[in-house]
Amino acid sequence: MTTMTQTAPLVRAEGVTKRFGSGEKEMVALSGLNLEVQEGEFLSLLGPSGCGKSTALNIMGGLLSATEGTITFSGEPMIEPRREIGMMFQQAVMFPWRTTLDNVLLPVEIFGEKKKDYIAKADELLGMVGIKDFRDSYPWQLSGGMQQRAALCRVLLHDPKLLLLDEPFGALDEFTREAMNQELLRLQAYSGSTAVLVTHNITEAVFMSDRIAVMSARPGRLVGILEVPFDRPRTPDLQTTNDFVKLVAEARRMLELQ
Amino acid sequence: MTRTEVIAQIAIDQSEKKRKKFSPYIVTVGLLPLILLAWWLATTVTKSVSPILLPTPESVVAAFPRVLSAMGFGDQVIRTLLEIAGGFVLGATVGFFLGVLLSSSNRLRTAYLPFLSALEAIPTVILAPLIIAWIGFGVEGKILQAAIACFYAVFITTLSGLGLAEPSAINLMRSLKASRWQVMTKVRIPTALPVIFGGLQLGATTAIIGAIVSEFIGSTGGLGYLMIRYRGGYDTAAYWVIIFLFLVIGLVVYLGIWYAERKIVFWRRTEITRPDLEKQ
Repeated sequence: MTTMTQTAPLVRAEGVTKRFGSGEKEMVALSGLNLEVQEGEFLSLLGPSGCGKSTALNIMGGLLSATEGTITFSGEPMIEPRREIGMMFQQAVMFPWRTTLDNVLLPVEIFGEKKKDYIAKADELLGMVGIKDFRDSYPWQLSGGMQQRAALCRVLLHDPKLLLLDEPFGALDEFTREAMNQELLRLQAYSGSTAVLVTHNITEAVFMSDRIAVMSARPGRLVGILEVPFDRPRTPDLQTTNDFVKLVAEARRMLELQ
Repeated sequence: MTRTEVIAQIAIDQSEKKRKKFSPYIVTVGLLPLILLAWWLATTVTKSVSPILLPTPESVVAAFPRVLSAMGFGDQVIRTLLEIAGGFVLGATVGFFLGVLLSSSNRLRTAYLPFLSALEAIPTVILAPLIIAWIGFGVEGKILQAAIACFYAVFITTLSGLGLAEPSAINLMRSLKASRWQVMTKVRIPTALPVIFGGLQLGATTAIIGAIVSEFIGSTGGLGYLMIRYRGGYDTAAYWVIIFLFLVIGLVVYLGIWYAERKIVFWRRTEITRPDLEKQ
C-alpha cells in the first residue's frame, strides 16, 4: 500500500494467492497479489499469458475463490458473484435463440425484474453503440464486433459499480478492436462505473487506463503499478504523442524486467 | 468410446446430417423405383420367388382395399398408434427428466448411469412376455413396452447434450448470480435441444419397434396382432400391406419430429448472414 486516498477502495486484494491442483501437479497461478481498485478509475491488468491476470479478475468477480489472502468489495469479503459487478469475456456469449434485445435483457430475467421496465434503457444503449437497427436480429446475423457491442450493452444495463473485462475484444480484428475500445471508454465515462481490464496489449493498456498493474508469469505476481496521467476523453491521436510512446516504453521495460 | 458416447455421437450426427438438403432426397427417391423394379422382376416376371415368401407387387396393391376395409381395421390402427404415441410421450418425458436429474448430480450419475445403461441392453423381445405377465395383453402393457424401448435414446442424448454448454456461457450466468435452475432452463436445455432432437428421432423409431414387437409376442389387437393373423393364414400380400403401413407411420413420425425441430431449434437451420462490413 502506498498513498492512502480519501475514499476507501472499491476492491482491495491482500496477499491473494491462487493455486490449482495439489501435490506435484500443483500450479501457482497467482502469488501474493496486493492491489486496490479505486472507485471510478480504469485499471488494467497487463501481462503475458500465464501471469494470472484472468485468475485475478475471476477472483475479483467471485467466480473463483482465493487459496490464500482476502479480497473485499466495498469493504465486504467476496465470497460469491455480486450483481453490482458486471463481467465481460473474450467470447461475446450471445445466445443464438435470443434476439439481440433479449440477449441484452438477459440480466433482467435472471434478476427477476420486469423486462418492460428496461426496454427503453436497452434501446438507448444499443443506440449508443450503433446497433439499434439490429435489436430484433439474432446473434448469428451479427458480426463479431456487433456481438461484443451487444455484450457491452448487456453488462451496462444494470449500471454495475464495477466492470470486469477479460480481454473482451481480444478475438476481434485490430480495427474493430480500436473502435470498440473507444466505445468502451465512452460508455464507461457515461455510466461512471469503475473498470478493470485484463489485456496483454501494452498500447491498449496505456490508452485505456488511469493505472496499469504490470504482472509477470510463473508464478503470476504484480511487478509494479504504472500511473497514466493523460486527460479524458482520450482520442486515438494520443497514441502518436511523445508522452504516450514513453509510457508504452516504460511498461515494456517493466514487463521485461521480471 | 464408451457406449454412451457412441449413442450421443450418433444423435449428434443425425441432427447434423439433416442440414444437407438435396443429396439424401435424390438417393431416397432414386432408390425406390429400383427396389420396386427388382421386386417386380423377381416375382411377377421371372417367378423365381414363391408368392408365399414374397408376394407380387400387384397382389400387394390388390390387397390394400381388402385389408383397409376389413372389419375393425380402424380400431386396430388407432390402437397401435395410441401405443406408439403413448409410449413415445411417456418414454421421452421420463428420459428427458432423468437426463436433467442425472446431469445435475455427479453422485446420481455415478450411481445410476450403469444401471440404466444395462437396462437398455435388455432386448424388447425378452421383456415383452414379462410385461404381459405383469399387466396383461392390453394397451397399457404395450405403452409401457414402447416407453421402455424409447426412453434411453432421449435420456442419454439429454444427459450428454446438457453438458455441451460453453464454459464462458456458464461463467456469464454465474457472474449474474443465476440459480442452477436458471442456468438449466436458459442455457443448458436450449444448448442441448439439437442433440435431444436427435435422441427423439432415435426414440420414436424404437418406440414403434417396441410397440410392434410387443404386439407380436402377445396381444388382443393392433397392427402387430393383425400381422400374426395374416401370417397364420398365409396371406402374405396382406402381411406386406401392414409392413407398408408401418413404413408410412415411420415416415410421418420422422417428418413430424423433423418439422418440430425446424420450428423449435430455428437457430440451427437459418442461413447465417453476417454483414462483412462493420456498421460503425
